[in-house]
Amino acid sequence: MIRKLLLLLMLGALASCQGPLPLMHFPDGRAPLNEIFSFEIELVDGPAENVSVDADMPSHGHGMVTEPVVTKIDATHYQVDGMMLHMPGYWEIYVEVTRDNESERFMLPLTLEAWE
Amino acid sequence: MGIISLAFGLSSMMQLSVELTENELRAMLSLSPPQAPAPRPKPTNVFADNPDAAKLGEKLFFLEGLAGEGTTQSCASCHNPELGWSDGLQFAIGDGVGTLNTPAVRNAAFNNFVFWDGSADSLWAQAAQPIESPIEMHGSRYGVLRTISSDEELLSEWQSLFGQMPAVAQDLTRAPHAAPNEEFSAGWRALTEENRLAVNTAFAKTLKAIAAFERTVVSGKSNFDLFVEGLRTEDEELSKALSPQAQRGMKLFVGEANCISCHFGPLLSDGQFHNIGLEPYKDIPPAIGRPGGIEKVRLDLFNGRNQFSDDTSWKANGQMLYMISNEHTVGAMKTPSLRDVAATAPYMHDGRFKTLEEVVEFYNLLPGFPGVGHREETLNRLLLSDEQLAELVAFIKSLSSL
Ligand code: HEC
Ligand code: HEC
Repeated sequence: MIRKLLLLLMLGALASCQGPLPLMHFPDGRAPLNEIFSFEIELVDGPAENVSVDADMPSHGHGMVTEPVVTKIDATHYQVDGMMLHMPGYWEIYVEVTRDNESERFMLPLTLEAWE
Repeated sequence: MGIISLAFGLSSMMQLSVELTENELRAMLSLSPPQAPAPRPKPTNVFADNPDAAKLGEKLFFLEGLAGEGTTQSCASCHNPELGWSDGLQFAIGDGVGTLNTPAVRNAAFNNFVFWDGSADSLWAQAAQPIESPIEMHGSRYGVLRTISSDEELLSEWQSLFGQMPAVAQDLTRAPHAAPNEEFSAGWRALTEENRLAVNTAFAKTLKAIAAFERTVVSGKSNFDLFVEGLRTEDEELSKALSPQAQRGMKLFVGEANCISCHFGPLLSDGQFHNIGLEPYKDIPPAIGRPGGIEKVRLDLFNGRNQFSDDTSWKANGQMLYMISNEHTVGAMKTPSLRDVAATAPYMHDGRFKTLEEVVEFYNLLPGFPGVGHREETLNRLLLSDEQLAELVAFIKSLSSL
């Protein structure tokens, strides 16, 4: 299963919102290059109605070549399957959390290198 | 941390013709890991790494007339080991001529998806296509089984691996060809439901043997690998395997020219699909690329999710689960491996470039616009000098198996 490792805590300044960034638990603590992987999201701010995930390479003008699927594990934990960051370079992972019909979008920046 | 200390070790111990940043050094090492990679396990084919299956597969690969009565070609007619497991032609010539360049079979086993547009999810599913394509071998699945059945030695090898050959394959009163397509539909309709299943099952096993052989066709060590090994082991002699010109080309490849953003890893390919923005070519309608491939692979009777697969689970077929087509993948083709690419001119999916020099000139200036979709924004004009372009080519040539 996914080894739970705390990757990033607060990126409040980067996230386009007030609430704390949801925790993303990556397998072996990091997102792999060009491999389908799963990870877990932990909503530190309490339960939500919906969580969706996407990722982009802003400087390349494209996103992922897979479509991830999010499933609820329990009130504050979600499983994301089918992620793939297929190119080295700068990526942004977006987590959209909906509570009371209002969506907040969080962003996790990350850079993958060709030699990883 | 080994790499970092190696980096420091290198600058002091070895004579490199180029100065590499630490990142360039790491990138270079990633193209030639200490252990040569092996194709990933393929659970949809239980014979994938069975040596007897590979032996049978080799015979089938080289067998002229494999596709049945009236056919003359073998897989090797177009994937000739003497021509880098390709054919040296711009467009493949079979029973007709298409609009696609023949890729090398060498290293194809490393791909999650094969064909330029990734329309097959395994080597065994792939092999079904040329057999029945009217412009390639132009035979049929039933024809293949008849060919095998008519050769005592082949048949006995086949049966010792796969069990009894269906009796219908030995029934010479039947039409020599049967397939669920227009041309051979009469023969196909003449088969009972049960016989059709038996034919498809036996055909799939045959394809799996061919795939087992193809999995053994991989690149050997190149001068570039010897050079990297020399650096790793601090062997002065080995580290001379790469000319100063090719060393400068390597630095460009992993650095300024940024080829490594798609041609990465030990195969120098990401196995992904990109629209690099080739202009429309002559009067050939531009190929739709990846979105077409996704549609085809989903419908393919021999894909890993269908009944002829040895493991239909999503776990074994993760690549099939999350595929998406979008505007960015229109016109996208599979990134070819650059190992042994010097042997497989001409280049690109339509063989438009006769030489590697022409290829790097394309990347240097990125002329025009693609016929469909848009050029990936990763690519920018390089505006390198002729000397630098020659260096890039020298590096690519150093990737040939010795
Ligand atoms: C008439 C020439 C011809 C014959 C005969 C032929 N091929 Fe091919 N092969 C091609 C062409 C052209 C392509 C690319 C087609 C495409 O991408 O749609 C190709 C693609 C492939 C690929 C995909 C490689 C990759 O990296 O994507 C493999 C593997 C392959 N052929 C194996 C075989 C096998 C096995 C046979 C025999 C059963 C065979 N071919 C017979 C011309 C031929
Ligand atoms: C955006 C990803 C990308 C980048 C960056 C890239 N390539 Fe490619 N390369 C491809 C794709 C995709 C193809 C096949 C395109 C086609 O046929 O439509 C290709 C084809 C090639 C081929 C022809 C291979 C063959 O068998 O036909 C060579 C050689 C090559 N690239 C070298 C380079 C070099 C050198 C660089 C850096 C200057 C580079 N590439 C940068 C994706 C890329």
